[in-house]
Amino acid sequence: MGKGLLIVALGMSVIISFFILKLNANSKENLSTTVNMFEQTQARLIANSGVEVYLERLKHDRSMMNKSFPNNNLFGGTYDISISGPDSLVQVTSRATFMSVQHTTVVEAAADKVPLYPGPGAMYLSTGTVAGLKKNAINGSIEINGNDHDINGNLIGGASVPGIAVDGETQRNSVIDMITKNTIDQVLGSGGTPSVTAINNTVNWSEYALLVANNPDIIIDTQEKVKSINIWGTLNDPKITFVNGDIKINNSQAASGCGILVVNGSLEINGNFDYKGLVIAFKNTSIDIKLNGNAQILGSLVVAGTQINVDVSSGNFEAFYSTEALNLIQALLVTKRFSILSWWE
Amino acid sequence: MNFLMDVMGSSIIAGILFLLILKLNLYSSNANYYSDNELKLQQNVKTLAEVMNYDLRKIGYKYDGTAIVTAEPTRIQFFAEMNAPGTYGHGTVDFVEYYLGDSTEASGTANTRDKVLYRIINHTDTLGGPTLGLVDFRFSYLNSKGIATSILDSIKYVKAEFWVEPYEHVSNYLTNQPDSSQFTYWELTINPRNI
Repeated sequence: MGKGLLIVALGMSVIISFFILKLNANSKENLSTTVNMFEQTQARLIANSGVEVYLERLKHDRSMMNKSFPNNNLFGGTYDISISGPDSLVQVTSRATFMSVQHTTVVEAAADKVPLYPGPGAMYLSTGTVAGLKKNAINGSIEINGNDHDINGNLIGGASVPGIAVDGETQRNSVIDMITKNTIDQVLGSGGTPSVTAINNTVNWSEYALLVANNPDIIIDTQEKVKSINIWGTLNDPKITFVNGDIKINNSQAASGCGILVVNGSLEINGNFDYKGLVIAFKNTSIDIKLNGNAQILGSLVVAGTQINVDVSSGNFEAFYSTEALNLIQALLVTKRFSILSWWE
Repeated sequence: MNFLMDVMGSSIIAGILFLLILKLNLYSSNANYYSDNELKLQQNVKTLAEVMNYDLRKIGYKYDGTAIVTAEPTRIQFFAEMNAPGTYGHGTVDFVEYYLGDSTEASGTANTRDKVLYRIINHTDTLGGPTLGLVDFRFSYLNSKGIATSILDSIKYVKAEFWVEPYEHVSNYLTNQPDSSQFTYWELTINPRNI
């Protein structure tokens, strides 16, 4: 009887063991089915994120073109990137691996460059800037000339633009009043003398300045970065310079440059200043030019900030419109973004 | 007399044990079957989800224009290049159609409600396949704000919902009647990047 019971008990144990093992195996398989779905999704997300990350990097560093970047880590997985093509058809391939699951994403994109807005006149004053004009905002030996000049500042026969461009008739009258009171007769360009013209401005200069200054070559954000002689680009090597903060160029210092100069803050110029290209002042910018020397801006000066004061006690201030100088900056314009042409995932 | 009592007592105990083993065996068979069915359900629904996930993400790939041609609850038609870059056949845009058949087309299974989901490429390459226990399927289409739309140009998200049941119903071992059917519901909302 005892042996019989033992056999029965052992038999039942074996049956129960098999039963539990089977249920365990099913449960494990069920779990792995769900987990595999998660792994596939994660691998796809890693591959996609890799593309986004490298397109963003490529925007700032074009030397990454036609190169591979293996073994990047993200979200517990890895991804390999290869980039190829010209700007007009960039192909980014991202191969991601997550927990032994692989996913490949292939994206084609085209570089979308920041457009060139050359500035509507030798000097453009936004409505906000005109509202903040002081009584003697522009005063002294000043020439603002909207006729076309070559890169050396000589008149050429190109189309003329306004000496000072403003947004409307009210602003035009304010500016004419101010320059008449200060006996400034050298505001030349299209539309007669003084050449102050209301234009239809369609450019958001603040937004444009931010786009242009997105990847500057030179950043001047502390006074210590201003030396006795400052070169912010040359004709052969134009630069994007971003002046961010309250910066002063005193009369023992000089600055010259070529390219695009974006100013956000307060720029006070006492010393010699010579710039070829486009100068954009935006946001809360106050430009103070208190000259004891000479200053020349060849290209276009756009003032879309809050204030401009040009007070020349000795020396000259010249703002000459120049298509040649503005054409130089074309190559400097960065890629704003990549437009996605196709996305395989 | 004592001997007879011993034999009867041990027979009763043996009988009870035998019934217990029988019951355990039946229970374990039933539980095994139920568990297998559940696993199959899970695998079937995952297969369907993988296919849908793969195909719907391609909507509009390499196609200029309105990629979605038909947007109905049980039928979708769209243009997309379905071959991966660098593989044979890449470079030609395909016309893809999905639609749900009716339950009469799946007569080989005990489940009377399962249906076949058809995938047709370029009007000719029809892939019906097994039902995988699919009993219902529904597409819905959302615009960029996540609001349902029927305007083909505005569709930015495609939501697919499907209900999958086992091929066979599991019988209750006591009543011998089919239990209420197991089912799995799966939902995925896809934002095809090319539309």
